[in-house]
Amino acid sequence: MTNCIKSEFYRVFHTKEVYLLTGVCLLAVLLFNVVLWFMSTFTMDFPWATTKYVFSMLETSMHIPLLLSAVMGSVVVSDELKHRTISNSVAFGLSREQIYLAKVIVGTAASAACLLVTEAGFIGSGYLLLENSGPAYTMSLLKGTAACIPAWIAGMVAFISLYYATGKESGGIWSWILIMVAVPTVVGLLGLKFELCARLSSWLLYAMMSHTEPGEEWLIYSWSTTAGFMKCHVAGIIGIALFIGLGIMAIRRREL
Amino acid sequence: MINSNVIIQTHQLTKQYGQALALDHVDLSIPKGSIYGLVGNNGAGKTTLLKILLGQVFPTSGSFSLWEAQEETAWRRNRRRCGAIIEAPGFFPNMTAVQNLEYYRLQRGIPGKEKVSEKLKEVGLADAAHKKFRQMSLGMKQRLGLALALLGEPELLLLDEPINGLDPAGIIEIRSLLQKLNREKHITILISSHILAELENMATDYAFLSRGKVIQQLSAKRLHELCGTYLEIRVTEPERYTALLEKELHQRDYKVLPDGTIHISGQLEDVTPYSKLAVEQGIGLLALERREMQLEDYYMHLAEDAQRR
Repeated sequence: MTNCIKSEFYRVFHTKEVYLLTGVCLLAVLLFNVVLWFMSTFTMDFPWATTKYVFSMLETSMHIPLLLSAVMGSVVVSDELKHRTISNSVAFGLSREQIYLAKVIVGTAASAACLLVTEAGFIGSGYLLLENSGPAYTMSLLKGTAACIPAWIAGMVAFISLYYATGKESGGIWSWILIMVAVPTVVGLLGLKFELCARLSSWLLYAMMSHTEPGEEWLIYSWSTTAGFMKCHVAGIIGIALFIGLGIMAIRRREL
Repeated sequence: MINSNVIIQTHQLTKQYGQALALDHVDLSIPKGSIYGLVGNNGAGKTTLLKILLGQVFPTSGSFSLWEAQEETAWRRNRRRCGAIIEAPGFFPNMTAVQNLEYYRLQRGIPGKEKVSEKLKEVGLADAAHKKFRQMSLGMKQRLGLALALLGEPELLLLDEPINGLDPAGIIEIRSLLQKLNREKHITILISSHILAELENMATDYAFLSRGKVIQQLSAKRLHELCGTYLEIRVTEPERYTALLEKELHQRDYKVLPDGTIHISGQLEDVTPYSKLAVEQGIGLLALERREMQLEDYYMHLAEDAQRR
């Protein structure tokens, strides 16, 4: 297993995809702060160039990293079935479960690195370029991030598992969109009419990440309360366990 | 009972894809130290057999042993002693030759980083070490596949069409390398190829496959005996001529092809009695030629016979 993890690390960090994904994420958040700084410099009374606004913007968009987790999943599997590289690993006596779990572990580590760089860049550039609204909003963003980490890992694991289940990258993408985005959206809409759907929707990751409601001072997120924070973790961990189960079943049955 | 001189033994191994039988109750024994040639047309079941042995596809029924192993965990342990190329060699397209081999070296826990460059040199790819896989020619990819197969110092090589895409010089080079590995390191090699002449120069044993069935297993020595000289005769009345062959010349070792051509095998130093027989009996002799049976001809005859049965 250790050898499998080592080799995955070697591959992921010796190819450009992870760097590219991290670079694009970092560039996007930096650009966002730079544009706001630029606007505040040349526009009188521009109200949005504050850390309160930008950090809250990211916190209301926690479903975007969930979408990006599928991209990380795609980087990790690297279309192994098409390139037939996994066939070599199996032919040389590696267990399919080890191959799968190594990908999950390395994918988690790569996602963590990508998240760390992007968020550090975002918070750092926010403090550097924009008006400081106080530490409360930074803490809120960090809390939101901590609440969503299991869900993002579940998103990445889901892509890896669905890739092996469908046998194709396109199959992985479409089934991921269906399960992770379309179903929660539909259930969420049905939740406006049916209570049962509303309760179910509150446990679905995509709906959980994108849920906000107005509070007395500012927005309330799924993770704003302690119970909500725990619920995010529980839902994420259930997602990880379910998708790992699916992935192991799929890779065991897949003929190469 | 497993014979210790046999590395691979299959028993009634069968693989079905939907309604199609890719392997049909295959019984094979691969002796230790042999270069075992799998001969068969496309769709004969060669690749499916190799994939089952390597755990890439699952048999529908039947069993096999790999050394003494007869179940998945033990197969996996013994597969670590194998090297393989199945179908087109699979590598990460955006990684270089060195990076691809290093990835598998780490994955398989093979000690010594220098192994990678050693193997690249051994297969003649030292100059392309830093070339990306997607930029390589088919021949180079094939060589890289062989380097990967050799990376773990295997005791058994399973090679599916390993000379596909190589130029004539490359074919000779790889063939010499495989023979050297078999001779000096006693590596057993199970090799499939549709370029039958290539196996003819290398294999010590053969299995002929057709439509998923093993139609014959034999040693190279026996094959050479069977593939010896034969007489090809075309006459105006084949049925009468063959009856006379048996009656007058006591020759029963012959075969009549669908077009009426007669093939006579055996000791054929003097061909005069065969022409004389036709002339004396008033049968028109259209052609009489001494021929050498090649492996390819032999396989074609076997496959035709198997299809007729």
